[in-house]
Amino acid sequence: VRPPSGRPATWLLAVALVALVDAAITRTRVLWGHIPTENTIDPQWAQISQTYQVARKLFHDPGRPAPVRVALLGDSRIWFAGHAPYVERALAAVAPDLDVRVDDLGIFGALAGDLAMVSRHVDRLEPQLVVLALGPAQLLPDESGRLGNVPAALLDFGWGDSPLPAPTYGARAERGARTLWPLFRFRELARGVLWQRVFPEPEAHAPLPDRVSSPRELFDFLYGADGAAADAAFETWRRAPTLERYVDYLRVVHSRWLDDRSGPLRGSARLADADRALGMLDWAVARLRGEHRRVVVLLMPENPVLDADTAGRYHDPALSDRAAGLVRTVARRQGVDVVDGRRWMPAEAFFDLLHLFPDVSGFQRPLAEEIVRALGT
Amino acid sequence: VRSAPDGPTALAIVLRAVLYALAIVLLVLYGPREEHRFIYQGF
Repeated sequence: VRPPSGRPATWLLAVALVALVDAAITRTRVLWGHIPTENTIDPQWAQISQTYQVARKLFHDPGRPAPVRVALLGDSRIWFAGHAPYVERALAAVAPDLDVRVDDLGIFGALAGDLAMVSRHVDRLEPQLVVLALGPAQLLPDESGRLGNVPAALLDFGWGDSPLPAPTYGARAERGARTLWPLFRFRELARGVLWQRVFPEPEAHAPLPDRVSSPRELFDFLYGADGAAADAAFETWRRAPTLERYVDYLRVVHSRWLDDRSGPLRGSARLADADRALGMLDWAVARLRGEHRRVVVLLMPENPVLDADTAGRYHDPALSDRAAGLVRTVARRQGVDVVDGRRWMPAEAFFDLLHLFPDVSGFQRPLAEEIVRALGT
Repeated sequence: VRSAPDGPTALAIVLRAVLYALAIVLLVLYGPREEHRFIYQGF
């Protein structure tokens, strides 16, 4: 007589129980309810937290039903400036008869591979329009040579083609297991979430406010107790807007890219090797566009304060045009429109060399106009 | 007259299955894991 461990009934029951536990975690608020760390903006954790929120939107709770849906894909620049409430309010002003739900799927530091991987799942939201918000950063690998990080790793599942090759049998098996088995698919997220359910942490950070009416509000949101100092330095620059004063302002709280020779404002020479990234973007656009869906590639606004940096001390003056040219080749090949927003906004609309002030910059207005134009054609 | 089953009882099977299911779930969630070093250039 076989012992219980050797009986098929034992294993069948175990598999059934695993399926039950799996559903109880991956299809409920156990995994997808609010967690205290999900709004962190700590660079070390922000990308995984935002990937979690994007996954929640894609696989659990897409948000309110609306007849028109627009998805925004990009990195931190669209995460801040394309926050859904701002864009939805601007859309209500531009086209009052249109009921649009905006899904801001921006993730800090998203590279071409990350965007391609998110694009793989975007059809779950059934958007009629996808805005792919790009800049030079989406044409370059990161400092370790990768084209994708957290989103590319955690959202790499699904039937059919993947934008990132799985070089080994092990990698292919893992992708297959992610596709077939929900708990395995979301295991990295579930690991952290379940831990926080058992040992709750204090709220890491407030969510990005749905209304921002002054730079100071953003500075307080970003820098906490240092918000007043940032605001004072920003005001000093605003009264005498020179590049030097802007650098002084940045050095108060946020000077990360000023002296970074390999940061996102540099690298036109490296664009010679942009083929892999362009291949990813090409894959993403081909995947996104469809019979009932338009894709618009938006070249994100760039801070005109850098115009004064003709010597290239803080940025690579050739980067923007070269990157835009490469993005256009992809768009042309795929037959989608490129909206060049690079000169849309004045310097005071930015809170650093890359990012627009959320809400108060007014970026959402021209974005809404472009969305309406794209929806209507 | 039927004799008592000399194999494992239903309870033993259920207890084993629960044990295995828990082990599988814990292994998936907290078992060996690859270390991702996530680097990015954003904010």
